[in-house]
Amino acid sequence: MLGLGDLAVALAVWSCIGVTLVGVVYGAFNWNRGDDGDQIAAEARLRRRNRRNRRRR
Amino acid sequence: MHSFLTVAAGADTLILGALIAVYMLGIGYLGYRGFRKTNSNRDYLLAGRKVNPFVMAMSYGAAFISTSALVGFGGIAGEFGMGLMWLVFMNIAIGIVFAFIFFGRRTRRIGRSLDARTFPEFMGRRFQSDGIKLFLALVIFIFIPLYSSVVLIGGARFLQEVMAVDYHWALGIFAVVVACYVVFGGLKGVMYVDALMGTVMIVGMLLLLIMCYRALGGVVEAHQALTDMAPLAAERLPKEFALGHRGWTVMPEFNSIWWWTLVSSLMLGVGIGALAQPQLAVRFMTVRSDRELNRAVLIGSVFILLTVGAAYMVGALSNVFFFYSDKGIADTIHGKLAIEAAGGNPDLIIPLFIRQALPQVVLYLFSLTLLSAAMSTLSSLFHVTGSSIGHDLVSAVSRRGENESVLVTRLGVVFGIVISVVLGFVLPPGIIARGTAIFFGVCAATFLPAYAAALYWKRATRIGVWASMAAGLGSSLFGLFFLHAKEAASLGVCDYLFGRGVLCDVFPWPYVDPFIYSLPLSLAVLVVVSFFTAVPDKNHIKKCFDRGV
Repeated sequence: MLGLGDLAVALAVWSCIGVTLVGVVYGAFNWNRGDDGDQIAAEARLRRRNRRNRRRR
Repeated sequence: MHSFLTVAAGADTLILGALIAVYMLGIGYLGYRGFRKTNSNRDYLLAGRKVNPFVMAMSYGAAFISTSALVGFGGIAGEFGMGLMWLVFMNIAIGIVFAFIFFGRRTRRIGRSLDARTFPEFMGRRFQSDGIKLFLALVIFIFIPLYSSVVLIGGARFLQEVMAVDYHWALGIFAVVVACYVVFGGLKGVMYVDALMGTVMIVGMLLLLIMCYRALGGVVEAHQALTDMAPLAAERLPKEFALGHRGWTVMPEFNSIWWWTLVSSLMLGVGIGALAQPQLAVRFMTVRSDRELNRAVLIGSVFILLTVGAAYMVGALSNVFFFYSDKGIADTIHGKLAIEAAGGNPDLIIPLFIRQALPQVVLYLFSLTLLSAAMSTLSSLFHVTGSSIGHDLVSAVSRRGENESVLVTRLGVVFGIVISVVLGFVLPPGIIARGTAIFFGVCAATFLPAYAAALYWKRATRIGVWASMAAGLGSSLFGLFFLHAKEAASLGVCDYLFGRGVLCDVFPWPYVDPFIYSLPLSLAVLVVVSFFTAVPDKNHIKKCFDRGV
């Protein structure tokens, strides 16, 4: 209970620590995942170029 | 204001002034770096979509957590206790973990597919409607200056207190400094400075928490001392006791006025409202890939725990400090509860505690922490207001080149700052926490269902989104003007039209935040209207969602 007077408040404090740990573990576990930036940038460039070409035509 | 002067008496303003000046030079350098690296409207609005995850997470957190969160809500924790830790939980669970994982990725991907640069533009392009873009830009233009002015007031109050300068001067100086790096540095300048400020905030708040527990003899001992003070709530604070306050380490009495405020306005309104804040949502579009968002989850969660969590803990524990400690405590404060020592104004509890409880060295660092919190939130709000005016509103009616657009956006930022400063002069004191709650609640009810549908529901239609936003905004405003006692009383419209404070005075309705009914209403309207209107264009949906979104 950490000296707190109410289970609900103690639960709030422990939940804050728990959800922070979830965030830390998730971030650490996925630290190098999801690097699709170059691919997306290339696709966006291609789409913009196509749009320009269509407009010219 | 009297206790500000009492508190400020011991400050070494020369040292603090010099420290702030050096800090400002650092900010100036980072703002200048942002300015040098801003070559296009995309740079100005989205920092070139190549922001480092540390900068992104710090910037998100620093923009998220303002002086309202630290000073305003910290003060409320001082008055009502640690029930507010549930808001910290919501801030981390919903505002960071859920927001980054479930909203961040899709916002970034769809935003990139649609080449959107602002939140209104994102929504407008997603639902193929310039009207939606303009409507969102208008809502931002009207409501964000209200929140900005609230943050501005928090920063100016603190500057007034620690530097012993006139409040109006403090307000002006503060706005001009922030304006400089936002106007010239764009989002790059804002995010670089945010990263510096976020770091200062973490160090400052962590130190504050450690020093606080040390001064009170340890974690459990400090909590126990506060728990033992519970009977004083009934003896010394009759107003708070009548609202449901039963001690600083217990939840308020179930179904009491304060219980409804804590649960409906703070936990749900502010906690969930963070999901739909345009100045935060736009940051998801500044990073290059999902990898940066994954990393930002780690940094952001720790950031919120150490800043807001520390502020609420310290706010509540300041009662023990004021009541028991006699070391270095002014005679007028010793033996009082925090809210008594602060003369009944919760906004003063944290500044007063810092002045009385901390050694000078820590005081200086903490001064910078609070300045950082205010400036970083303010800069992001100024930027999002300016981009709504300059990029979304003005550019929608006149087609301009890239360089002219940057100029118009900069002018928009200046315009937004002027409005916030004017509001800062006219808004009444003690509005910090209320203003924040209003802003978060209105944002959530108006934007959240539509924003969530933009990311997850392909069947959502343009008319459904229109109806949802109108229902959310309309019901929020109706609640604020006619149902929710605090705002209805201060706005006075209900009294003027109907001769009574609120339309429905059956408990608990005058104390239930409008967010509680306006969000479900907005969501229901979106679903029903979407099902009865034409299916969105398949090609457009494919374009939005085709990249594994």
